[in-house]
Amino acid sequence: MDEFIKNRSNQLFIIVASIFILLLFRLASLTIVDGADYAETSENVRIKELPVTAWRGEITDRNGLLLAGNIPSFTVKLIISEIPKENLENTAVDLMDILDLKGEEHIEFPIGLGENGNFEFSYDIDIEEWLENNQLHEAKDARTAFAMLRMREEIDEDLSVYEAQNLLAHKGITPPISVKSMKFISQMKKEEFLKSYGLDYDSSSEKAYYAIREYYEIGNEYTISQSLDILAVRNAIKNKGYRKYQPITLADDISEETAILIEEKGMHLQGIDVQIEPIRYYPEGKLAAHVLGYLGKISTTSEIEKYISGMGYSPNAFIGKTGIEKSYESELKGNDGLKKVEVDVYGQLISEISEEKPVPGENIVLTIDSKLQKTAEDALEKVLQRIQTKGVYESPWGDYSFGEQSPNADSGAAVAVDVNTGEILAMANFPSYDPNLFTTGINQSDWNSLQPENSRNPLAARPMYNIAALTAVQPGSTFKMITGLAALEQGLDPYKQIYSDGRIELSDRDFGCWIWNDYRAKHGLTNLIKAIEVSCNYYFYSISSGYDYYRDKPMDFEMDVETMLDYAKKFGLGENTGIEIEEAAYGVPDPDKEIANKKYYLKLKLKSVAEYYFIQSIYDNEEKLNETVDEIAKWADENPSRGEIIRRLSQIGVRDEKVENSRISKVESLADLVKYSYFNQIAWDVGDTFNLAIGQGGHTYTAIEMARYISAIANGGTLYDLTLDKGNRGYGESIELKNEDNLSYIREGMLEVTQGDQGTARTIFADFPEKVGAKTGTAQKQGKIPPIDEVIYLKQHLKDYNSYLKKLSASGKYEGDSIELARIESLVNEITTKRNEEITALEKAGNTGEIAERVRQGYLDKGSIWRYSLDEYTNGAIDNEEIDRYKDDYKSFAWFVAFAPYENPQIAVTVLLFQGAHGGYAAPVARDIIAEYLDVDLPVSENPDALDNARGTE
Amino acid sequence: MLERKMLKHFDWTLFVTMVSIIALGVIMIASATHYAENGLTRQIKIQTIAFCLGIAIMIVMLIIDYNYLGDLYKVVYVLSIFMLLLVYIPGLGAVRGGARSWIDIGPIDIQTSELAKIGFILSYGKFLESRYGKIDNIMEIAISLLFPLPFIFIILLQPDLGTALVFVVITLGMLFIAGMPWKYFIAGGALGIAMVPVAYRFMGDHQKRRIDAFLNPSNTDLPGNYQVRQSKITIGSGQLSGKGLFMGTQTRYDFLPVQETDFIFAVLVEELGFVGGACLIILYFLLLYRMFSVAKNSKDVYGTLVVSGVISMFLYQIIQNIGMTMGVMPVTGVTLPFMSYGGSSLIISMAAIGIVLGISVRRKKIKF
Repeated sequence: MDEFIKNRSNQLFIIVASIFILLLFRLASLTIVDGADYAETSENVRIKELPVTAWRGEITDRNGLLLAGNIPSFTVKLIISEIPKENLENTAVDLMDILDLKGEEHIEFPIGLGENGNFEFSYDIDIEEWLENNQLHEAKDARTAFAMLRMREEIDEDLSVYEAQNLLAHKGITPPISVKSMKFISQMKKEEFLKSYGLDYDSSSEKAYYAIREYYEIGNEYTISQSLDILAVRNAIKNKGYRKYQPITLADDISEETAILIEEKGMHLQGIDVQIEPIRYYPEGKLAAHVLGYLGKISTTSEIEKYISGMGYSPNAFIGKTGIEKSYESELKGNDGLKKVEVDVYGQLISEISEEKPVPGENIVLTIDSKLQKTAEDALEKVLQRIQTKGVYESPWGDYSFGEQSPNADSGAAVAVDVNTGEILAMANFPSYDPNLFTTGINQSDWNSLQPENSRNPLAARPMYNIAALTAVQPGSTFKMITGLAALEQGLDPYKQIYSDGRIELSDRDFGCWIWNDYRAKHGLTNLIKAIEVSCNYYFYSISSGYDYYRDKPMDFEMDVETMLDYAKKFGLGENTGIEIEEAAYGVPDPDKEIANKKYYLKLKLKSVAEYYFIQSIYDNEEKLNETVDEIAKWADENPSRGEIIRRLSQIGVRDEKVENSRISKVESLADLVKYSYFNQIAWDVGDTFNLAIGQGGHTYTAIEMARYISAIANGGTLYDLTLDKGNRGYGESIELKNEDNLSYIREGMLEVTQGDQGTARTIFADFPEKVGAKTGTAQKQGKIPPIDEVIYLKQHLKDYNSYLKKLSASGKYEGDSIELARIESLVNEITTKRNEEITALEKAGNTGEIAERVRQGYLDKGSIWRYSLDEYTNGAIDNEEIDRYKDDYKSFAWFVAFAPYENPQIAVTVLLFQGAHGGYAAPVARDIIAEYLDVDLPVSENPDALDNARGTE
Repeated sequence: MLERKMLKHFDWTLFVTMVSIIALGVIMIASATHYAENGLTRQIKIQTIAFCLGIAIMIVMLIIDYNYLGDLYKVVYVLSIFMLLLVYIPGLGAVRGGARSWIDIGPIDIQTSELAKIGFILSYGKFLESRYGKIDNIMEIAISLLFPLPFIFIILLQPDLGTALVFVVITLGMLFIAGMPWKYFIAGGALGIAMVPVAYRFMGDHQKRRIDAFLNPSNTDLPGNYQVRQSKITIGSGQLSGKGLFMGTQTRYDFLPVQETDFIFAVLVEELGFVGGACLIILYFLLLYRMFSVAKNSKDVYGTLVVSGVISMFLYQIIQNIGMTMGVMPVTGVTLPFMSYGGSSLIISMAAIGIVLGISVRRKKIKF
């Protein structure tokens, strides 16, 4: 028996020993084999990093005046680990009292006391407000609200909620509702909030208040208001979760006074810290706003990739969104500091391990001269205001009275450049904005106020848009110097006179000089100098084609559109100027490319109607079809007569049948299509060259491109890259000219613009002590100004349309009814419903591409449905032209370019006014900028009351 | 009763080993309850008081002749079950940690299953003594298994799977020493493994998730896995010689949950390294080795069986707890004997040692 036991005991012992050895092995594995890794992990879990924002680099003007800097902003923070637990409540109450006393905003508890003394959830208030603002007062819950929106927007009942949500979004309606659960987002937040305290979703605010108050064991000695303060803090702490080592912001951007008050109470407010964080500050407000740019939070996917993933920015960091702030973001940013702290498992701060101090960003010096910038901005504002009201532009260098009123002249740009270095001395836009609005995040109403009033109008004032560098416009007569120079280089004699005969009559259109169009007058004998002085179109038409139209013989040099455009390119037109901020350039017109494009579309068109027009053997055979189509396209250069085209088409294989219900054959029909819709547009004729020669047609250049080109004329032929950064060395290249002296003739002509008897800017510079070379330019803008609300406009003019219809009826051209409001409205509703159904069908078929396309074209737009309805109702009698008749035309753009002093040019200025009407109207701005820069003496005027009403015209 | 001459056989090694482990335990509890910041914490004081009480009870158990208790085994059996049922008396019984395993007597709570363990061992030992060597047919086995069933059943209802398993292991251990043939163990084992999927289906959700958690250690959302992960980090970061007494960062900054009870071993290894952990394991081994000695030299089979029960009890708890902290056993709330903070656990464990010592001093004389 003994043996037996011993055997069993021994067996058990052996089992025990084996297990213990296994445990030892496992222990060794964890501690020795993997020990180092675990040690590292234990380090990582414990140590957290707190970034410290670096002060952003300063931006100054060329003289050191601060344009963008930092000011301290005071933030009240709570550091949980530093508050003795028993003091938390009193601290919270005392602190909030101070903040309330000083009127500072601070964090709030989601439950508060309403005006009527009842408790209410902030979440509920948000929902109520939204319902109010969207006229959905009757809806009590999300489901009803959504349904009402659907009804209002006439969305089909059959669509699912997701499809309905998509359609609403297309219309720009995004209710704060989660369609998945059919709840308001605020409601879901409220539920999350209640759940976090273990309360039912339907708890009343009062019940929740008392329950949470009890949860935190807030004593009865505190009033409700005090309890709410305590709860605000407690709730904020709770929401921090495991990140308690991070300080909690209780109030930000408080005044210095408040900060001092809180600091003084320091002893009694343990755990409360007033921290200084830098925020961006622009001491000069709107000055040079477009050059500086504005800041914003990182938001787009590409920004996230570049800054957060790529450069390690914090997700809450502000970055430059436009301008120098953006282009020099990495230089300005500096290096954020880093505090390493040790934390416990609750996330509470235990101790600071190390601190890497932040490194402030680099300072940037701009080439901008603040005084000049201010002069330019003020002058722009003044001139536009006076043009709008047909007032008088007052200036010590001469008042100017505007003869024509342009009520929509509401924006413009002015650029001033140092012609010998390419430095930009001023870049002004009107209207402008204050970048200070953005430095802590812009609020909705401020943002709204910076958006164009009428977004459908491309020329509406956009305060945040840098017109000077981004808006490209036809230059009008300011282009003529290029034409002149090109001709000179080709051999034109600048002093040789031709007779400027008012207008040139081509086979299909007339090209008149402005003096002919406005006054039926002629300039008579004109040479290049005079042509620039008076801006004679006729002269430039002639030299652009190398043909004297008056004497009907070629001039003694060769000139064509290619050469002319080549010189445009040489002077930097159509290309980027090289500035450090965003700019746009669209190239120089390219006749060959345009012809090629149009031929391409012709070929596409022919192929799309191939079955209808071509015989089977061609239509069936792809190769033959291509050959045929190419052949037809080739004729475009020739642009043969209609008869000739008909002859060729019948030979090439077009069907001979008659077109349905008509007497003409398919051959004739195709010939018409090809000739009138395509060949006439494709063929480049001299008229197109004329347009380009006087700066109309396909040209589009920005104000800075123009400034650069004028600088090159002024400095004798060096094209500099423009720069805003004083630290950049000027880079310029000599323009290849056959004869540099040619530029001096151009300059001579420009001098006469301000000095000559008929100079188009003579009156503005009459009393100006400095000699200035300049050129006016007036460029048309096609189209009508869109009204803010199309439907209102249409309704207002129904009576006008009806008068028109009556007139048509009287002459027998219209046999329909007059327009009755009720009937047209019902037609509109019918079409709206039909279109909604079509969109619904597309939505169901999942054809989102088609939907997007149609919406983009205004398919569901009320205005466009109305227009379509008017057309339908009157069987086309009221067409687009008639509808738009009562809309205003755009007035022309006003350009003015100048350089000074004439003998030894220093500065070049370009001014552009949207709807400025006449180039001369922009001249006073340029003059005053030059006056400021060259420190010109005030003129001694014999007759200070003499105001001149002459217009500068093109 | 105790005779003076019996004291000559007092197993000092066993006693000293136990005291060493307890002392180490108190130090570790001090660390786990942040002695460095808080000074003598409540837990340190309670553990020390429990130790003193434990000594007193040990002396009592030493004096009482174990055979006296053995003769009363039926009474002991019933009393023990009664103890277990006390928790169902409203007002007396209390739920702690999700299990109705405690009775609330004013300032202290007593976990009745702890007491029941002793009662069970004492009564089962006697029960098996008469069947010693004869447990070799199905009938005998069935009856032998019926005896512990009420304990296991009631405890499972609390629910306390961990403690129920202790009883299972004690049963198996005592049956093994009592001579149940190997083949039945193997058959039982095979049957047990086969039953696992079925048992799984009948398990409560709570237990199911525990099993899931054990099978998926890297998913720290499953219950217990976070603690085990933290525990492994804590243990591993101690490396060879630890971070130093009271210097364990995981411990100091509360990265390890329930560090003074279930995970006390991790605290030890973080601060004293592999060396410290190995020392403790060796101390436990020594403790068990001495108990084996007592078992073998016991003057009667009853004594042997009782000691075997005690060995099984400690063995299971040691392996389960240390294994759990190292991630090789699932998480169950089983304390580490003599180390984990816990008054009733410490006192009962010391009482058990007391009984073993009692058996030891009454052992056969060595015949020369």
